[in-house]
Amino acid sequence: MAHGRPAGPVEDPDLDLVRRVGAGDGPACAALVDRHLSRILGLAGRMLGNRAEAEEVAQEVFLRVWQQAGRWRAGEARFSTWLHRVAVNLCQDRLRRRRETSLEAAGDPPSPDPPPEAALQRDAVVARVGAALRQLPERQRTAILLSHYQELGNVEAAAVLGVSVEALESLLARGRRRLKELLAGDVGDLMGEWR
Amino acid sequence: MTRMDLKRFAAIVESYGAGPAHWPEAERTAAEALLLESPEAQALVAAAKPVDRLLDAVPALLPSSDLRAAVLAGAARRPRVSLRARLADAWRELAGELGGWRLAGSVLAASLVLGVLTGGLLSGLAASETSPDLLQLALLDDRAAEY
Repeated sequence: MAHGRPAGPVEDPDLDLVRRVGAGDGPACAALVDRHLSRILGLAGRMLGNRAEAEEVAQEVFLRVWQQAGRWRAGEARFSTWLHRVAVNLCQDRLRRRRETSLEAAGDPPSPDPPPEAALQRDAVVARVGAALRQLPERQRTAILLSHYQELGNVEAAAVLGVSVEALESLLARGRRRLKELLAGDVGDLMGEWR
Repeated sequence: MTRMDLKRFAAIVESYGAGPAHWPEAERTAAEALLLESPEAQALVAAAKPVDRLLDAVPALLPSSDLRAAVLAGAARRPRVSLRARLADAWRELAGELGGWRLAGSVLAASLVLGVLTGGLLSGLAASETSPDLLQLALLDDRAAEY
């Protein structure tokens, strides 16, 4: 059984804005940035765990927007789906390079422990959950980020990942189960600290 | 509205968590209806809540004004899409809608002929821009500006 929307023309709330950006409309560029920059930066930040890199990715994403807006073809996909796909691909490229570099360097694996400055309770919760998220397989983590944080619908999140809705649900379920296991010893403590 | 069974409800909560806002739009109403009447569904949601709350604890980065400015500066520097590229896109779209590569070939051939004709016409116009009549008009403008 399919659990997505029925196939049909894609309604895109960004279409008018993208067309204006493509025509060189400055205020439209600013409006598009104000609509999407926070979400893209948030996604990149959670995928990469590093502000400087996330900001670089956000800039790269929007450079592609400026290059492609004039050639945007309506009806094939939502603009926000394309935007998220570009961001996810750029982040995955960086994570791949990071893995290659760390293998070459053959150094110690990054510690899952929170950094020392995360002494405050709230920071400790954030650090431990962030570390657990980073331990998930990449596709499971990305599925959770798209569904939980980016608040994409199931059809759109599946399109960003290039999988069916059923496959998305499988990734999400496995990811959440693993997350629960990773935080099992902590859930009670963390929830206690958080209250 | 189709009634949802507990098995599908459990799968939704397992995948999307405890918050109805994250549930699939097409099934949300049925899932919420089941949640209201089923203690088992309520127990599934209660069990999923701690992980949701932990996920919610991780804040998102917020863009600085410097980042916003840098992103917008990229828009100001962007290369313009050339007329040729726009025409090529339009041809591709038309060919795709009307029937594939065979038609695209015909359209491309037609566009080449049109391009040659247009090029010839434009070069004729360009040559005429330096014609004595235009020079005369320009000189008249210069003279008018002197007054």
